[in-house]
Amino acid sequence: MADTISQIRAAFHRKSYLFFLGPSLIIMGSLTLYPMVYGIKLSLTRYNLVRPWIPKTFVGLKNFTDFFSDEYLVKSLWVTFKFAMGTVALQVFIGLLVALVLHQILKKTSLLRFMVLLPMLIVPVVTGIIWRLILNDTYGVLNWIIQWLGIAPQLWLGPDLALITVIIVETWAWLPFSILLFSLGLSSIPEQYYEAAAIDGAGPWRTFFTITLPNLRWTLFIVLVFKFSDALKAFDTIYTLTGGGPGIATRALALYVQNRGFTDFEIGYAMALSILVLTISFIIIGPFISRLDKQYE
Amino acid sequence: MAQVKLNNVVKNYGNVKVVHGADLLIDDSEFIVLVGPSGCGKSTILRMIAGLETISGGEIVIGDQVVNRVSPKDRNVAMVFQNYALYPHMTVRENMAFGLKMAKEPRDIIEKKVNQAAATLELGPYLDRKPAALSGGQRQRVAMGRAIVRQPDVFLFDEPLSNLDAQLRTQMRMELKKLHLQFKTTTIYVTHDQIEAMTLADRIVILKDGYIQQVGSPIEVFERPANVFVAQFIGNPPMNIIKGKCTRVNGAMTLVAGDLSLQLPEDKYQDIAEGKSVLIGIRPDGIKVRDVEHRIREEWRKEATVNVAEILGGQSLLELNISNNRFIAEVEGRMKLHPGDKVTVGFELDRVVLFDPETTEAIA
Repeated sequence: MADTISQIRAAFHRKSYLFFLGPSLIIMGSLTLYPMVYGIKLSLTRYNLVRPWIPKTFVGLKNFTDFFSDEYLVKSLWVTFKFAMGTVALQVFIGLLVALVLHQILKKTSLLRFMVLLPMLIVPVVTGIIWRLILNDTYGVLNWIIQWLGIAPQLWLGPDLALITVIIVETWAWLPFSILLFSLGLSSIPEQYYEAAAIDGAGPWRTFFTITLPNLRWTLFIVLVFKFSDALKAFDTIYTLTGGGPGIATRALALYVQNRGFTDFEIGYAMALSILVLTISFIIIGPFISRLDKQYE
Repeated sequence: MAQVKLNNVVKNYGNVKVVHGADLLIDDSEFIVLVGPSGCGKSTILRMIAGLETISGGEIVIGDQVVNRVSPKDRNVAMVFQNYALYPHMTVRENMAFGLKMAKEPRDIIEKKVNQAAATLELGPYLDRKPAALSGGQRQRVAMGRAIVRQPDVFLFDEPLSNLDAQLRTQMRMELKKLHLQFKTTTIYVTHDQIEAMTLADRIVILKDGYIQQVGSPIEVFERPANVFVAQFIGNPPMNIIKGKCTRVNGAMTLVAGDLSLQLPEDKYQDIAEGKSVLIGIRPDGIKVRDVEHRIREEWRKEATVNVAEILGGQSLLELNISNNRFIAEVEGRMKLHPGDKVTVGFELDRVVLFDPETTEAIA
């Protein structure tokens, strides 16, 4: 009897990890894994959301092969590419620059650091609305300022400038994130490296390229991973600012997926597009993540 | 190689003065150790010499150049930091070559100097490794190599051994000494470890609260401390300090502390004012327990009771009650004594140091 109890107890101890892992596995499974599998399943069907009486039809890989004849998809991909390159480049470059200035000159001014972080705390939809007001071609404050400076008013959200404007607003909204990460990265570089470099005779540029930048490379990787993945999924700022327009000038991939899913109600095709976004994310971000893993091995 | 001179050097951080007019002359090729407790200003002085801290007052001269406004790179000094400050993304070779590269030395000369330094420090097999793949001792050696290759006028060491374990510290201490004998570069070394100070230094500078307390050879500061602080900071266990008075007994100047009376040697402190209160300083190794009859004059021998006996391997530490005064004695060998045991002890009174109780300065 005692043996049996001790056997049960031992078995319980062996499996006790399940009690700790269980809750996270259930949450992961129900909130991530199940929707993903369901999404993959939907991507292989034709399913119209507004005609639920028409049964879902299995179409195999047709939704995926349709990509090749979808010229709007190509345009969306091109918009997404330009948007991603623009926002990532600006956020990395300006973010690093601002973080360096904050780190070098304003080490003790935490209030200013907090103020720099403010835009990130604003809900993206509110960001979009505020900027729409600022950028409005007739009563927007920006056109008022440039007119006051003697420059002709611009159609900021017109066909020529809309994408650039969206890139700038997105950069403004999310710049604090890269500033924050770069600031943390900079403060983790031991001061002694700089002192050793000063004694070794390295000037400011040399110090930046030989000490600061190499020591920030993992921070840079992390910023790139987050910003690329954000840019590929960018939706809210664009949606509230331009709704993807004018025409399809700013219709990035996520907006195109939304259009196909909830304007055209082609859920199967929209799901296939979502999987495409996921695949592109993996292809671009995967190498970064594997490098990060190596860093911590 | 160069002489380093500090003339009334002051350092303030806002209203807080951390170095109060330090004057010091460090000879060419000398190995000088700045020692003192945390916050005494030793690292600040070193960093001012390196140019990493501005000087609030006075001047620092390296060779014959006042360097107050000279940038660190133009002072021709090399510094070894407490945490080594090796650039983590560079190999050992690149770390060592960095300073020479900045000085725009030709590539073949850099290669030669790095290889020479690596051979001296036995770093040859590790030249292509990154610092993360090295042990603490190897990293320490790379940091020294980085300093050596530059052939500077002055080496600056900021507690370079404090991150190493005790055994490695002893080994590296010896290597440092050998390197200094080999290169004969003026060296300024900061530590809070008095054993490092005693073993490495040609001269020791003892600091407290931003003031230089004493400058002297290790033996000088050990045997003739300038004040009670030095007497207790240098030496482990610290010097025994007891309150007493100077009195003439039968014509001989005698120290009296409670029931203890000790006749001063004929050549010491004879002109001290009779009745003057003093602090009597006796080193623990100046109280002998073995062979007392042969080694110590009869009038310096006293009866003692053992309070505590600690065997440290090759030595023993005894806490003794001698005529109602508490003393620590450091004796050679293992003494199997127990609390309450009676022993005859002998004072090496020719080594006694007297201090003024008000100023705590040593009486000449």
